[in-house]
Amino acid sequence: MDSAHSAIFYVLGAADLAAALVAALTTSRAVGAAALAVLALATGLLVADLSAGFAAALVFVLLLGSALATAAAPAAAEAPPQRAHQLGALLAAVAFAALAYAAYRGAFHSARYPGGSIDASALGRHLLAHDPLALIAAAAAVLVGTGLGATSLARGRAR
Amino acid sequence: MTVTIVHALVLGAALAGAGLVAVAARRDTGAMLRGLPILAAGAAVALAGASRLASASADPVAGQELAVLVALGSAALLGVAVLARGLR
Repeated sequence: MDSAHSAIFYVLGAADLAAALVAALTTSRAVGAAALAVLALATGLLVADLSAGFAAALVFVLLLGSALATAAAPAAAEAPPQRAHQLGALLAAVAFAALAYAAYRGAFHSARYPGGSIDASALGRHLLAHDPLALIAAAAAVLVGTGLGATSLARGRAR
Repeated sequence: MTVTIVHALVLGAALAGAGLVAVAARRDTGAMLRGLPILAAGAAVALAGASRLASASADPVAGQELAVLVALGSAALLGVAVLARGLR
């Protein structure tokens, strides 16, 4: 990657991480939804910076939809704190440390990227010709999940 | 400093770690739900980074494809989680 793309990657990465931390740690639902929207935008731009323009558009739309879904979900009472939550935080830290260690210590093959910056046709060919079953399964899961979630939200509003 | 696959993977791991914190450590179910898209964002960054910076020339878009599928799966899982939360 050239220096301009690298600088954009670092700026967007910092924004991405800050938005993720705010969304994960805030107690306000509105702030969390706004942070998720920023996360969707930053992740989309970051993936586009990695020469995956079509995937970036899809990831942006899906993450933004997720942000809207979490913002519209009805509020629920907080469960009492338990030791399991602290253990969960510890395990999350261990998982991050293990992934970061694997990234630094792993022997990765570096290669020049032969594709373009959008790659919609190549990605479509790959999805439809190479892995159609995975695409159909994911589309069916999204259809069912979206339908169930929308039904739940509509029922919660009607109450 | 030029971006390498290590930078993309560490950023993806950090995002996934933040999502794991939200899913595993938060008491509020809304905050737990917010962890799912954060996890998907981490996976998307790592997969797109692997596709761009360390892809085999025979299959350069496999990482992008997996990033899209992970985001689709996350959206579906979030829909089911919203339903489960509404049923409680």
